[in-house]
Amino acid sequence: MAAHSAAMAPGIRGRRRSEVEVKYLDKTIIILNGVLILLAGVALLAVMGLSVANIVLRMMGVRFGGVYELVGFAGAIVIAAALGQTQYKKDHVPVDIITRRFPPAVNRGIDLLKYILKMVFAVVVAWKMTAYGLHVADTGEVSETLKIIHYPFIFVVAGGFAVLACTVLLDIVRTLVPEPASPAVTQPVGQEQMVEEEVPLP
Amino acid sequence: MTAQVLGLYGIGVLLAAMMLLKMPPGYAMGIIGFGGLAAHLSWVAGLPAGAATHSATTLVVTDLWGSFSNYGLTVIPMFILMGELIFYGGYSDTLYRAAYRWFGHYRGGLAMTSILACAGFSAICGSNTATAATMGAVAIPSMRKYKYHPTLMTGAVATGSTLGVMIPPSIVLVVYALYQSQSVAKLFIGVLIPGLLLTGLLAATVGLICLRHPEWGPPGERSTWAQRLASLLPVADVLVLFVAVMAAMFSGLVTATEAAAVGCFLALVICLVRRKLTMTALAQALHHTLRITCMVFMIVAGAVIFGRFMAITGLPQAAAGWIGSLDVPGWVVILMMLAIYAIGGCLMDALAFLLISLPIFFPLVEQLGYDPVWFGVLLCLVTTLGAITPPVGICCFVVAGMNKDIPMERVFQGTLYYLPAFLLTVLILMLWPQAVSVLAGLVR
Repeated sequence: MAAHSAAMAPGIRGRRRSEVEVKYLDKTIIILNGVLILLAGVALLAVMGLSVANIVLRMMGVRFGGVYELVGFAGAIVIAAALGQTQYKKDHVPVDIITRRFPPAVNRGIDLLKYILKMVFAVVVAWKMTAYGLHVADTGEVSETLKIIHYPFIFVVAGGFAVLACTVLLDIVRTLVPEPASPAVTQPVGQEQMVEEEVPLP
Repeated sequence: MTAQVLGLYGIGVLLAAMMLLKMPPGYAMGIIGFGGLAAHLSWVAGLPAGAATHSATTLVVTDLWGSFSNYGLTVIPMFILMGELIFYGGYSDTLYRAAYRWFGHYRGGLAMTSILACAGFSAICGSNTATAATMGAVAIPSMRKYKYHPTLMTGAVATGSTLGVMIPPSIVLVVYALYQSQSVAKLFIGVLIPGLLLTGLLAATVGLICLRHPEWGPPGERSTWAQRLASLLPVADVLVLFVAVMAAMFSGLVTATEAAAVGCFLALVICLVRRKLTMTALAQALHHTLRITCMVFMIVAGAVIFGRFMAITGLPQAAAGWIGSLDVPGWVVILMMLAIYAIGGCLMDALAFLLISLPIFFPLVEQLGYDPVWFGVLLCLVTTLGAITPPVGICCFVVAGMNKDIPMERVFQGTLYYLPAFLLTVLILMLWPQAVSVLAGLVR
């Protein structure tokens, strides 16, 4: 019995270390996404505030043409900064009418492949978006109406995709090192407001 | 390999990625569109592999930045936020109570109430799953109390929630409008009559079900006229909000984003003044809005990339040319398209299928000379059917998920009773397109 325990110990220790590492990665992703979602929330309120202010100003006879541009840039922050959190909460609804009949091991393999493809896509977009931002900064390109620099917004979008890539990396790790009982998997948004438990398959 | 064959392969790979890899539609369209662009530039245009990949990534990044920073698309988070604020303000209960006071005493009255409350909630929420989750929580406990048959109660809530996209503001119509360069205001005003018609037909269906199975929907308590009139007062807030947004859009003086922003601002003010919204609830409303918006935007951005790939292959034009050359009347072509959309809507998210297929079908609709606003409303109606039909039926999943004791099959069985109402609405729209154009034509 003692020999059996001794033989198992390194495996268990390794598994525990992996779980601890996953927890650290998880915490880092939560903090990153938390900061970005705060930024996205502020940008969302800015979209509302700017649009309402523009109507009020127009009614008072004051025309401020650059509002549409600013709202567009704020809109870009809204989406990009929410990319990681949306992935973390598994809000993108997949089509699983065929795969739900597959064995769990096959589904894990499929998930892994899907996450790798997604991560590659996110990394490529983050990298190329940064390059695009640098190009815009180098050429001194400014926005059409307000004539302001807009590359910082492009960098925010690049950052959003980078955090998305990190969040997908966490999903890959979780697929490879499954937790005994994962509480992090949540309902898709819109359903979780009222549905307390997981939606069963038919 | 010709460009059009590559396009056909692209569609096949896209479907495989979604069905076999469980890839969410937005990402699938983005990744396959990117791969397709690179393949086209390399295999068809003859660029070296490195240069083709570089050009494809540049196109994808430009498309993503263009979609994310598109002013027109900012209307989406605004309408979603308006619905979330009203939801967290507790107005779904208010709407249900008001409808109950007026119709609860009829046989099947609570099921009718659910459908009417769904229509009311849809007037400030553009998503059918959000409507299903909200009204399911409000309506089903009441129907349980009066011993309603599970088939009737779940069917009514799941089907009623499809009104989320058939009563303005509708996210599906917003995306259709922006994707096909149509007027959001015209689509919103145009969908009013079909949406109300469908609401009436769904409510009438409850009456017919209860004629055949009177024991399925026992009548509730009769309210006094004082109670009925008093119930309308709290609903006035939602009515004011709806009228303000629609009037702003109808006037043509403000953009769709501005109208939606005014709706959001009014919703926020109303909820705060009435002390219906705590800071926590506001934070939750913002959080949910961001996540739903991101989900919708990824589908739109993916569709833009995939649409560019389709356009570069010339497949949509070739398909339009081929179908246009068939010796069949235009209405047969439209019916064939609707059948494809009905099947596609059953298999995947309605918005995703709409965006995948529109580059192929829309040129044809224009070529046949049909009104794009009318076609958009018709598509919205047909694809939303997918939310209550097997195997995907997302609204049925939501309702069944909230009621573990009711099998999924029973929910689907309940929604089947309402299919004739949908078909009748489609038929009316086909025979009488003025149901859409009569109001849409008034928009400046």
